Amino acid sequence: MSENVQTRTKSSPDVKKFFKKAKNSAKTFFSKSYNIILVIFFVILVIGVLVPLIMMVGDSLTVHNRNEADFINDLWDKNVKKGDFTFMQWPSLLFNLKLDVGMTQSYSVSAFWLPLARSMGMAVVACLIAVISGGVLAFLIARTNMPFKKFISTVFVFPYIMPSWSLAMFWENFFKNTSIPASPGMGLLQSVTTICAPEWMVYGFFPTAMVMGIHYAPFAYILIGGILRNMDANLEEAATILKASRAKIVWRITLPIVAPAMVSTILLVFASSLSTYTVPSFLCKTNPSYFLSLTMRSALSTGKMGEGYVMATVLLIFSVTILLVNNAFTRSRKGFTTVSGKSGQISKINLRGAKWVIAVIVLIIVIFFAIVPLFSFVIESIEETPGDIKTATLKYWFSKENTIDDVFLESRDLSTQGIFFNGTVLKSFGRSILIAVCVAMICGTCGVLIGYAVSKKRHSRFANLVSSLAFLPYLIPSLSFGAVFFALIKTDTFKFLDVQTSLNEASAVAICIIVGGIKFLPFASRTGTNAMLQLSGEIEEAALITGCSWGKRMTRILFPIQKSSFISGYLLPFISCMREYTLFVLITSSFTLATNVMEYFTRNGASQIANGINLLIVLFVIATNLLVNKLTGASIDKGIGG
Amino acid sequence: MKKLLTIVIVLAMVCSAAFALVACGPQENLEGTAKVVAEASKMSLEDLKAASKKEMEESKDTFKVVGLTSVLAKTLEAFQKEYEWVTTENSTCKNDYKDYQLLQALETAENKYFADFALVQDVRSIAAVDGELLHNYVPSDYKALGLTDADIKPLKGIYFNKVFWTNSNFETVTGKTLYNIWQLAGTDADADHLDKVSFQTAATEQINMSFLLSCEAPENQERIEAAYKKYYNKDWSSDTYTSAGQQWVTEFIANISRFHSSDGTAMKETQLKDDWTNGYVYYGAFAKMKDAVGKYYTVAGQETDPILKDLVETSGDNVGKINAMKTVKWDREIEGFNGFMYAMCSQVVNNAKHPYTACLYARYLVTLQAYAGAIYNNKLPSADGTTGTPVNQYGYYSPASNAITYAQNDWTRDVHIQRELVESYDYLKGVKITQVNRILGLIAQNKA
Repeated sequence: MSENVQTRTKSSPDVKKFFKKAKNSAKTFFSKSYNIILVIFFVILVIGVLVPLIMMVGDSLTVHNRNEADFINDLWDKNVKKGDFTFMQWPSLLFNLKLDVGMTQSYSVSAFWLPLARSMGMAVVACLIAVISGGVLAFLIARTNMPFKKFISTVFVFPYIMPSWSLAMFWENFFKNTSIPASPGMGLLQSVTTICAPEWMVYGFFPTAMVMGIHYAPFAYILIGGILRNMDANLEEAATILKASRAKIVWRITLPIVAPAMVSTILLVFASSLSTYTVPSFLCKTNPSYFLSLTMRSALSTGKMGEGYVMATVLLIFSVTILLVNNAFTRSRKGFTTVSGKSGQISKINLRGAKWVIAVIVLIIVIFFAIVPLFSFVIESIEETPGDIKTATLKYWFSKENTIDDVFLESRDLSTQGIFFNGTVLKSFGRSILIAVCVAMICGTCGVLIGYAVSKKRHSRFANLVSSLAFLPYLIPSLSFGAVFFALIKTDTFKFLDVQTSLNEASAVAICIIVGGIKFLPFASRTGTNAMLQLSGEIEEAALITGCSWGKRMTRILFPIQKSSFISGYLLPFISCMREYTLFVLITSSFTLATNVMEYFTRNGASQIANGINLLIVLFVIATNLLVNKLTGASIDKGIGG
Repeated sequence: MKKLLTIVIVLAMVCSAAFALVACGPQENLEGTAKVVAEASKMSLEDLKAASKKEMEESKDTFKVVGLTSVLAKTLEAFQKEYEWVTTENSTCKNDYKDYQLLQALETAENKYFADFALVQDVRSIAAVDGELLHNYVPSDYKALGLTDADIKPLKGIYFNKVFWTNSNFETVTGKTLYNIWQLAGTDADADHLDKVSFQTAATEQINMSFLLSCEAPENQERIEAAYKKYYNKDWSSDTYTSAGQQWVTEFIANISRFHSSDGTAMKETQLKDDWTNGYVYYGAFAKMKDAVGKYYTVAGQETDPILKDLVETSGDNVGKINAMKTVKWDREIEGFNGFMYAMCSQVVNNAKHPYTACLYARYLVTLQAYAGAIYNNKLPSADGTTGTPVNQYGYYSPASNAITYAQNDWTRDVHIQRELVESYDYLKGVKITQVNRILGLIAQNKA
């Protein structure tokens, strides 16, 4: 007894000391704005990102239905049943090497290993195309005297604004030809020149990699160009004074400076290309199981959910590996401050006579991939008979009467009036804009804050963790990500966000903003972090010495300096959100968003209106980009000297 | 210590947040819906109406219908008029799901209220979750409604079909006619072999997977073997294959020369604009014929092509153009089968909050009144070739009656059933994933 009392009295000051110390530590920790930001985002991201991710991985370890249970039991002599936790989904997909009747390869080889190898190869090639084409163009525009910069800079981002499948469709329509059995008819190239492109150029690996590379090249252009434009001229000037050759300057100074942007681009393009579904679905007509994303979708479509989630998890593992490499790279580098506040004018390379040749080549390529597809949307929205320009009519845009007689399209409040008089189209378009604007505001602002906090604590594991968590939504398949929130709104607590319960589209708008705000955060967080990492600490320190508050430092100093990069962080989620369909399909009604309505019209034989909506989305985003450019001087292509 | 404290705080926040997310929805009774549906299946129409009215009046939730076809929305409109306690304010329909999206939604909402009624395509999906996520209602007066025992497990809502079709100049272009399914298998060494086949991949199109699986069903072997005998002039036998159907499927997949991305595009455009002189055999949804009816094209060479020139419209709004439908030939009698007949089935979703109303809606969907209201179309040509009279849309068939008003060039439901393979729930529910994987493997090996 006395011993106990003695212990208690002895330990009491220790406990007090502990709590006092803890309180002081917490006080010190939270006195730093970037720590508060990190903790807040950590909690938000764990709820919004980690939980869905864990659920997805958990799905790869679960028996989803009776068929799956029977399959595992037959194959591995087990006794699992629906709902059981099991690791057997993995060997069932990865090591099912049995050769069945008529098969020359085992199921695992044909449905997993070969598609995985192809997907990896395609993603690598897409990265190369994106980084090389985007990087070279960024260099030409930012660091040379090439003419037509403004036009090229504006137009080059169009392929990123357009949905990737529209580029795929354009590729097929251009190169298809009658020498390929799988090809439906004659493409533009064959009609005009009678040249027949070989099959490998029209379907399969090469065109998929090309389209993905072209689609994401603007991304490389934006990220790399932003750095090239903002980089401190002193670095190169110093090298020039030291008589370093131009090649050496590029190799030893310019390339290391743009390396973080290149790695970020590779990360984004690799992850996107690896899991892309829509592009291969257009360009793999000769083999619908060519890439892993196609076999994954096939597994999910044929009720083999476990297998599908195993594939999704494998894709995730590869992407996370790249993410870790990126983080290691960011941690290990010696510093990439490019904006010091002391910079002078960047020196530009004089291309002399070659500038016109280069400009013309670049113009041709840019127009081909950026303007011609847009033109094709216009044509397809006005042709009464697809492919016959003689049947052009503006009724699908301006008619007050129904343009298509279809018993299903006339149901509910859906009409087939011209787009500009079609209430369903206009309302859904308005909602799409509202959601995209809100998502852009959320993502852009969060991206700036995360970028600030991560850059301030760049060598801290916690900051790296938050940075990585902010990127994870990018790696989760859109449908799976949407499904997590779909489950959430079906609970009693959150049913007010379910449009099918409330019968109010505001519910769908609200949940889309939340889902989009998380899903598209990676764009903004990457942009924000890259931009903040370029800023020298001296700039903020100078303001701090003068007693400038955190809010003022952010809004009056840091943001204005890196305005173009930050606004990219707002515009990229805006663009992605405007054209998103899969992510939102489970949580919206059939008519909530412009993409819902577009899909509805496509499925019901009103392709002209669907093409018109697509064109409207693309034009709206382009117009927004130009407007933002006019008002703020920034744009997604800014960066670069345009 | 500072580090430890940080870890403790963070862990506590993470755990509470994760707990809050996971626990925010109460688990609902999983057995309730099955019980109610079983009771409803014994009720008379009047009792069912009364039960539906009572539950809708007591409910604070909306009655939710989900599925893959626009027919649902049209039928819900009529349903609201028929049963006044279901209104536009307390009912809703989402019908733009793709099949895999609907399955994902059903599974995700396994323990939650997602919807009351689902019209599900592909009975294999139903079989995988029957009695768990979905429950089958059978109207007590199903015979009076015109249904047979084959139509009720699961309850068929609407029949659809996919058929083999070609261009109407097929014989001219190929010098052959399509008369036997074995022409689409085998090799070039076989007489009348056809090596241009366009098919939407069964890797993502569930119905095509069910079609290929059904070719291996025991009940279909007799007709496939008979077709084999007629084509090869010998009885079918094999050391490699377990059935004639399995051989046909293996060789058919190897013979596919194009995987078209959509039946609709193949029916409306590709066959006429791009493939007119190529002699393809397509397999696709006959329902797309309704879209082809309204599509007119100007085709290169139409003035001189021996067949196209006779199809050019000489009067009306589309002078000088060709109607896509007239370039399609499908109504052949192919030895073996012409295609595949399947159904979208009415199911009550587990945890439905309005199960009686879902049953009432399922019952209403099979009535001829609802069917005609949603599916008849006065833009299609009637039997005498004129338009203006509502007739049945191509590719949609009522499970309740064979005696409906068909459009020109369509067969009756029963003729389709006779000439096509028919989806069998009893067979498909027993199909193993190994069989599905074999087909997926064969498709992956195909180099179209």
